[in-house]
Amino acid sequence: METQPNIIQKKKRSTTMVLLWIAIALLGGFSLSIIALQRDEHINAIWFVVASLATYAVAYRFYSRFISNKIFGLNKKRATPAQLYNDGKDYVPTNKWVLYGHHFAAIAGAGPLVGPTLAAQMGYLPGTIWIIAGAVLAGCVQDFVVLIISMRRKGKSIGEIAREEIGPVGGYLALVGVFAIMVILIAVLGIVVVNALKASPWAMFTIAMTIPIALFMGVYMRFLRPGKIGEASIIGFVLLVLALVSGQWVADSATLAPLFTFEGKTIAYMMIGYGFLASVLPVWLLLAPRDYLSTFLKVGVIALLAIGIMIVLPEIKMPAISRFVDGTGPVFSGNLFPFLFITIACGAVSGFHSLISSGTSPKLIANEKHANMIGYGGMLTESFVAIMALVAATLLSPGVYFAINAPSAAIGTDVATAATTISSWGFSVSADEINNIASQVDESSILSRTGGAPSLAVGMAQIFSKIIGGPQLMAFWYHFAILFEAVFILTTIDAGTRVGRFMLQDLLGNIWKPIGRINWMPAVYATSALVVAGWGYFLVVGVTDPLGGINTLWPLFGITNQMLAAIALIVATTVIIKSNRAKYCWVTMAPLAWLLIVTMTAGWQKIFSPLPKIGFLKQAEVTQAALDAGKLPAAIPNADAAKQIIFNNQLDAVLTGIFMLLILGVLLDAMRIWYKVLIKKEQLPTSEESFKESTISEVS
Amino acid sequence: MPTFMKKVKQGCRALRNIGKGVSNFPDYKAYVQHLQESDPSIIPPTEAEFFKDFLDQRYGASAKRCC
Repeated sequence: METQPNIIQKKKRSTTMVLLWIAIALLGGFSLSIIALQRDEHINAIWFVVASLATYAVAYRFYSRFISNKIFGLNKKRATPAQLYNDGKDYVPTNKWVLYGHHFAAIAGAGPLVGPTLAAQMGYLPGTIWIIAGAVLAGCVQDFVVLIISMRRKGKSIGEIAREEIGPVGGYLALVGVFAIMVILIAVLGIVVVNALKASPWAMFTIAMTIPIALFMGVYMRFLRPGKIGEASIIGFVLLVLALVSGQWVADSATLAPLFTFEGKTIAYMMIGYGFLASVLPVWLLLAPRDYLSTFLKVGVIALLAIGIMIVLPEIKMPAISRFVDGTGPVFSGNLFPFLFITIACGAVSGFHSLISSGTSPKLIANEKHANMIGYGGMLTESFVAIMALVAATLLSPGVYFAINAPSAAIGTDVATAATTISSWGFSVSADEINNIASQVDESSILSRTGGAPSLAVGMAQIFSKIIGGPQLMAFWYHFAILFEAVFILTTIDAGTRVGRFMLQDLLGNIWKPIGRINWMPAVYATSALVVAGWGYFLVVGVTDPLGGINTLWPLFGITNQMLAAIALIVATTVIIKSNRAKYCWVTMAPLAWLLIVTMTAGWQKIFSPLPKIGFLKQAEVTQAALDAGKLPAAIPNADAAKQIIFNNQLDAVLTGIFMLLILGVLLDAMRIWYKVLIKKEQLPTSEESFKESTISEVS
Repeated sequence: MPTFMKKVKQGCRALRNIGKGVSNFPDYKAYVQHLQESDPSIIPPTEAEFFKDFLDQRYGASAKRCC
């Protein structure tokens, strides 16, 4: 008798839930149709927020549960590595909200901010659709599935899993792929920072001050008050704001400003020196304190941006689809297909996340059922960050957007020419308008500050200054946004160099043992120098490239990142097939097929396209022809620069070719396994740990 | 108001724990407690040693970084 009312109550509740979910789905569909169909008037940013959040909610509730229930059978009674190997340090059952925060902070970097900003040249619609659909069907699936697979294997890394599940060849190729993407990633992020800091004493001073601040925090946490991360972070943050405020005095002072005004190339060399130091100095002194400061700053500013957009509800000024979907855009070259899908990598699907999802997070999960929120939910949040970056880029008037983001080869080096050129594209803008923005943010010029960070900072400054301070604080907010972006990009650069050094020591250690010893200083210096030289080369070349380094290198980064995602999805598909769940393997195989089509097409076009703007080889050929004829275009100053451009394009073509072969190698090796299991019906062993019952009932 | 102050203190502690968790900073006291529960014969490291080991390991060969 007693159970009866319960059942009725349950039914009632589920009816309301069904209605609620139908309402959310309808709301999402309605907002998406507004975004897709609005043409004549400016559309409000609120529709982007509602459309994305509603889609995320439906996908999280239904698709992520489908994956966890049907494919992996996630079970709260099954013990996780954190329970089985709890050592109080690396393996610790962690509260799911805290772990969600940690996972998000680890996956989100500059990628989801830069990609959508660049993609805005094609209008807001293509980017929005790809960010939302890509995240829900590809990016979140990758992060989530890799997290589960690693969680069931003691938290092993994706490289180890590839070796165990596919074979040594696939595993080794995956490792080389990770190292290559690291080098390209650091170089391209370096260009973003250089373009934000060049000829800007305010920004340069503020970023330079973060180094002594980090050193002080390091000493504080090591000797003065060991382990007091909270105190050190608060002190660090206060000092940071002081540096930001005094940056304006430096910029306004006639004697100090020249000391902090550098051209791009000089800043590039400074960053190379910094990267080397960060790799050889003890971590507690520089790297760790920077990392903490940057984590808190990152989470804080992203939350601020979300709140800001929801309060201000800005109007989007960019058209839904711009004329540049035909591939002639100045920010990046190439057609919507395939280049939009590699320009926006992070935010839709990012192969880098497979390193995080198979790193720290699987060792901290307290309960298997938390994986949905950490893996799938963490990536949904990053996708939302990408949507906000797109909003911040498209709320600028399109003319201003192109003035900041188009390279000087496209719009010239003076404001009048730029205004005329951009207006001739159909985005009317006056020289006064461009100068006005520059003086509002207290910069000498905003022309051709490519890389996405400056235009995002202008967008953020417009939002923040509407809430606090008005136009007077525009300049402060602009430099605040630059500081925030530069700090966490520099954290990626210094930590990435260090990680690259360890990888290289590992790889070279196979050939000559002593070089693998991580405490032998000659080996440390040599491998650090090699890694720094690797990304430093691309950085300097990119900064001095008259055709715009972002234009060349960002697609290369996008291709490598998506290829890493493809490798992760190949591994995931293999695991699903081997564990007799082949009928559901479309969950990972469909995004894998899409990524393979996109990266292979993009790679092929980057190498062989007959258009010099897209094809590396054609660009080299055209430049060579111009050099031979003695008629170099205005953007290329002399014969040496021309030779440099020819060599770099050939190098980029070779690199792209290597990446393509790499991924095909991993794919073929995995298909060998798929054939064995699916056609020959062999039962292959997997490295999955056997079921052990959980001993703890609930973790707070 | 001792109860009020208590609540403020609790709130601060919760905030600090969230911050430490998000940045994946280990909890020294919890580690010592864990050691004593699993094997009381092990002498726990000092707080300074503990953080030194942690940092060396965290930014060591297995460190990961994202875009």
